[in-house]
Amino acid sequence: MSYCCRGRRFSVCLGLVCLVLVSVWPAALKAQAEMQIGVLAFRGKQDALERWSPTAKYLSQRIDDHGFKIVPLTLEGMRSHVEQDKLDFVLTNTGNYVVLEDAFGISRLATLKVRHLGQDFTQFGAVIFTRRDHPALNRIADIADHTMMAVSRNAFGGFQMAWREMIEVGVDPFADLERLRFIGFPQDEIVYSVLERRVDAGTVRSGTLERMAAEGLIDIGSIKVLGAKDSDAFPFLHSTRLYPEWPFAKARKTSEELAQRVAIALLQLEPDSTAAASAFAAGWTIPLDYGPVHELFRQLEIAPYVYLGKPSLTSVWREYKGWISFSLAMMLLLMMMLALIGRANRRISQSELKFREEANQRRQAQELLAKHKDELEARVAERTAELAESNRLAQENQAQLAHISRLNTMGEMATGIAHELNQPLTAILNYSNGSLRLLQKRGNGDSELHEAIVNIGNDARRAADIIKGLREFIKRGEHKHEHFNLRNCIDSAVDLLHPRLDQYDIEVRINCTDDVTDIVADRVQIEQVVVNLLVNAVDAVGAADQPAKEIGIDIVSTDSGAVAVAVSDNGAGLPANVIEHLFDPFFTTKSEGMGMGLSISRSIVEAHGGTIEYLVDEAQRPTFRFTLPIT
Amino acid sequence: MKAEDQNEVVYVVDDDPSARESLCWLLGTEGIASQAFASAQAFLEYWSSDCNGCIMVDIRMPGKSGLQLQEELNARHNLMPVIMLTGHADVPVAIRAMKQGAYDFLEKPYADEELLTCVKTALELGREISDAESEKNRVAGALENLTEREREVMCLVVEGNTNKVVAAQLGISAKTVEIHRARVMEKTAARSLSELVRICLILKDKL
Repeated sequence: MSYCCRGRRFSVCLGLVCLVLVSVWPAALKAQAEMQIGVLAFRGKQDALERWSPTAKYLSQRIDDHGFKIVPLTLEGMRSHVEQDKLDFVLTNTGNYVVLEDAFGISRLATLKVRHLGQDFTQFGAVIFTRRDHPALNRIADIADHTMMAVSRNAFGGFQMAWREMIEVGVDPFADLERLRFIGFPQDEIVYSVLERRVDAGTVRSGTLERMAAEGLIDIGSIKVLGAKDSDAFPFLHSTRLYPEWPFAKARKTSEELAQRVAIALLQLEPDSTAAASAFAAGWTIPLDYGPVHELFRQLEIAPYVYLGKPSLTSVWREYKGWISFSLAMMLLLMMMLALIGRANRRISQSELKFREEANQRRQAQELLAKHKDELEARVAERTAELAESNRLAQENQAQLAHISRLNTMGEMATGIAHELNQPLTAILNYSNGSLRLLQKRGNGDSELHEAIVNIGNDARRAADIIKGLREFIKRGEHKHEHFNLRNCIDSAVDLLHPRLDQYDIEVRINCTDDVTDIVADRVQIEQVVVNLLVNAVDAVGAADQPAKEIGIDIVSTDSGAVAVAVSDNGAGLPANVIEHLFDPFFTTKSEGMGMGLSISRSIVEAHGGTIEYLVDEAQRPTFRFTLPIT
Repeated sequence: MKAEDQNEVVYVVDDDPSARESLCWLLGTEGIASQAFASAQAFLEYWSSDCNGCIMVDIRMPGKSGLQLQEELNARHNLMPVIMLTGHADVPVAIRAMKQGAYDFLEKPYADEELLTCVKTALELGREISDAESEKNRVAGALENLTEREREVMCLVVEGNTNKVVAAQLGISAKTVEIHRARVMEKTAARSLSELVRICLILKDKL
């Protein structure tokens, strides 16, 4: 019973062990041997699995202690998986490989041998082309200022290869073209666009044109390749350098031993095997040099930053410790220099700002000036005309005054002479007439004496007539009777003497009662009187030593319906012996004077029915005062 | 010559010695008394209200002119006629002198007949004015002697009222009016009513 029992216990134990084994072993096996192959799934997960699963299967068969599994990844996924050491092997395109090699130290084991149109290649390039009959495009450099089409900025064969060649001939596709269009896959559309003249030039991966020709889609003869290159063992049209095909790489953590076994297995893959065929390949070859790819990225300054997305801080620090330190030092230096330059710049921009402000102000002022220029010119012209007119009037007035003055002087001289001669002539006549009366009265019949006395009288009368004739010959014209403003008349007399007033620095003060300024008289004659009185006043104060030389003109109405004009000065006044003869013709105290001024003035004033006199006013100032009847 | 002519004098005011002296000599040949002055001031100093005759003044003189002399004389109520002597140019001044009351003006050199006629008429006028003035003074003196009642009666009578009316207005009897009226005639030396009226006209302003 017990045996039986023991036997049952053993079988239970065995069952348990088996259960444990069944449940535990595969897991242990998996942890030990399943290798993760990260594959860039550029056409989606499914495509990647279909394309590369046979290769994984082949490797699993060849390396019996390890299993191999395809992990389809996007570019970003690929990067993060490699960074976190989740992958053992990497199968990706040429550009991505170079970036990952740089960043995470993956290294290539083999390069894919692609089978295309019955031929096998380990390299590929890009072709830049236009249509055969395009007249302007013959070299790559000719694309400048034309339109171009490509797959995308990040497409290695679909744009970046052509980009490098264009840069080398001096054409920046982003700056020098009339237009650059990225249209994505498929590349056939680019070929159609060029042939149908929608775009001048295009670039596609090498072999594309040949495939489309083989499929009968295009006539390859209608294509003109720009910058065509001739390479041995590469039969397809291409304009760029050739770059190696996809590499199979190992991660840093993967052992050399395993890597070696995988490399051998890959190199031994038969061209016609399922694994090769599903990858559109003819197998694998020894790894090529990926240096040209590095050069391309360096030259275009695009990888790894653009192509890879953001690297983590730690990874960057790990990889570029030396460079970062150096760069930081340089940046520090640069910042110091920038600070210095910045300070200088600030100063420059401050002065520039100031300069601009000033320039702005000047411009505004100029605009303002320009704006008012016409108006100003018009006003200047108007004012000039006014001045010319008033100048002309003043000159006319002055000339008239001078003329009248000459006439007056001559008239006054004649009057003076007549008066002086008339006195003795009157006396002669008195005596001759009296003598005749006495002769008659006394009855003395001496006819000879009588006749002589009559002749004396006749000749005396003739002399008087001559004088009268002379005087009438020069006599003043009839006085005009015109209405005018006495104040204006006096102002213009003052104006006339301005040079002399300024010369002696004499201030003229005019007081005027408004209601008496309109009178009826001969304006020019009255002005002559005022001028004469002013001239005397100027001579009187001009010679004096006063610091403040002053002439006052007071115009007031008198009780007897006349207007009185008093010209006073703050000079020394006149001595009594002079006062007595002031108004006599030819009487003067001036070395250059004729002694006619006051005499003429009196004649004019009296001719107007007025009076003129010399007096000392309430302020003890010497004053000449003349009156004129208002009507 | 009449007795009253004896104190009639032509006062000659002229700054020119030969002119004034020859004029005086000429007047003398006609028997007209004259007195010469070299300036307006000199004459004003001499002048009194008792002077008889006329005045001949040269308009143009140093110091006070002929016009100013005339103004001064007017201010002193001078009654003698003033004759202005002028040159050719002084016509406007002469006109002014006339407006101020000058009797006449003569333009030098003047014709002797013209001069003598002018002087004689001026003297005559002066005499008349003088007579009128003394008559005026006489009746004015007479009027002074009238009583208040006599003056009232005279005024009403001169207006042409009868004694009766005057008596009624003054509230007195006609007889009394008659007496007052006779007194008035006697005191004023009026020989008739018309003479009384003339006296009243002369002294109109004093009534």
